[in-house]
Amino acid sequence: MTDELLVKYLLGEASVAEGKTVQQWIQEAEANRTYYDQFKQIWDASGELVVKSALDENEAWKRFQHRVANGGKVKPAPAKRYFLFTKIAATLLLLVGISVVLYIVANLQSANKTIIAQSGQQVLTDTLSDGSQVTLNRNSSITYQNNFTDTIRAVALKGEAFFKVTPNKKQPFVITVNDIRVRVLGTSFNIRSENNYTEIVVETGMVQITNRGKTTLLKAGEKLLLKAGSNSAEKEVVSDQLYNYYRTHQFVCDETPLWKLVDVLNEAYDSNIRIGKNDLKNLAITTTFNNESLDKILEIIHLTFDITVSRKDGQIILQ
Amino acid sequence: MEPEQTATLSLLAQRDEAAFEQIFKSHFKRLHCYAITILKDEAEAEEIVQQVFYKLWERNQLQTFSGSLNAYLYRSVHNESLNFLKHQQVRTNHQLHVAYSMKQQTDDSDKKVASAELEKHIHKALNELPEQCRTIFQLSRFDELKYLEIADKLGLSVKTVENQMGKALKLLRIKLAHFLKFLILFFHI
Repeated sequence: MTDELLVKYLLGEASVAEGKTVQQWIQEAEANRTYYDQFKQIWDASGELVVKSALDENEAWKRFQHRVANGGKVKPAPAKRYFLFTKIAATLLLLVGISVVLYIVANLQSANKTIIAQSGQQVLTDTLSDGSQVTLNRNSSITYQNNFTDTIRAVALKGEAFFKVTPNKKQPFVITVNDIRVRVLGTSFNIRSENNYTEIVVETGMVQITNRGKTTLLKAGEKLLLKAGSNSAEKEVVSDQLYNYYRTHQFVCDETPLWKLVDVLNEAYDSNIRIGKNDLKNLAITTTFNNESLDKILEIIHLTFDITVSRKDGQIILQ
Repeated sequence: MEPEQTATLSLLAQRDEAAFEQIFKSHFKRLHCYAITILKDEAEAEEIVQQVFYKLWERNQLQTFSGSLNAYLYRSVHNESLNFLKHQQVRTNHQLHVAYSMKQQTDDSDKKVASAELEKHIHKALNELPEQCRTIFQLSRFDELKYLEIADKLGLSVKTVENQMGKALKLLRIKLAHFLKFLILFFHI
């Protein structure tokens, strides 16, 4: 018995005569039956391997045309391409998700972030999150929490700054400078701290100053000079607007003694002006220098008071 | 060679795209199935079939082309698929393993596990058959063609188909002998 004939019979290809021969052979011996059964088993089991193509021949033809157009360059199969696209999309989505989370976290953190605004050689104007405006004179800084989440709006000052505070009765604005607390509800004022001295000039509204447990109320047009370690609080009437020069670019003198103007000029122009004669120091000046150069200002002083201006070793001497 | 095929081949020789399109579309699914049964990967299978057609398209001189177009296409798909497997052996083994173990997980009865095992062995054995043997088996078993149809398609005599089918099952039986013994015992118990 040939395998060919057995298979032919198995597949229904055998003629009637051939079929009879095969049937006879199978019945002749148990071994024959087993032999035939094995063929049948293989045949039946292999049927489980049958697959269907899920692809559309028209779509496949389009892909083939692309291949021809590309000179046979291998293009990723559609299933792969789809998979790749899904992978890319998923990756992008993941990246976007991570970015959003990081952005939110960063924002939450920055909401409570401590901000230090520092001016160098230039005057700096900063608007705080509550809308208050701060103009920092040169070499000054303020430190504050970005979002003022506390019951007060706390700002620490070093140097000199002019504050224009946005009114908010529920959340007072409190400045700490040289261990002095300046509490305001909404007003504008200048604070200047230099060495151990702190000078507060109120332009509008009212300011409450606490120094060493002693509280002083300062009204518009008043100024207070405090010395570190001292309880003395000299309340004065503001005589000039000179303190405002860095904000307004004007030197406004109103019966201002020369020494005071010289001090401010030295600060503003990084100059080294000295008054050579003591009797010149309290010479009162009433004028406004409007954004002028130091040379021009010195020339006006020279012409007004008949004072000699001489330069020597980087010093400017008035006498 | 049948007159019809000669006609399509001469059209092919003239780079008649419409004729080629017809050949492509009428053969694509069966060839794709053939490649899938060998590779167990639909996407790779398509790539193989596309490559085979592309080579045919690139072939300007059809004088070198002898025999049946069908036989050529099936032979090419078979050979290219096995070449691909050779290069991707590790990966494919892994895929097969995954495919079969997934199947095993879904089939809970012992009998089904056993038949899944048998399938795995048959798949391996089929891939080891000589090309003509394998192609004829493919057309008979999976495309469910009669001996006469297969002979017609591949430009062979019915006797050759008969011999090759006998050879196919004989080889499969030898390759699966060990496993079949176990299986018979199993079914008898």
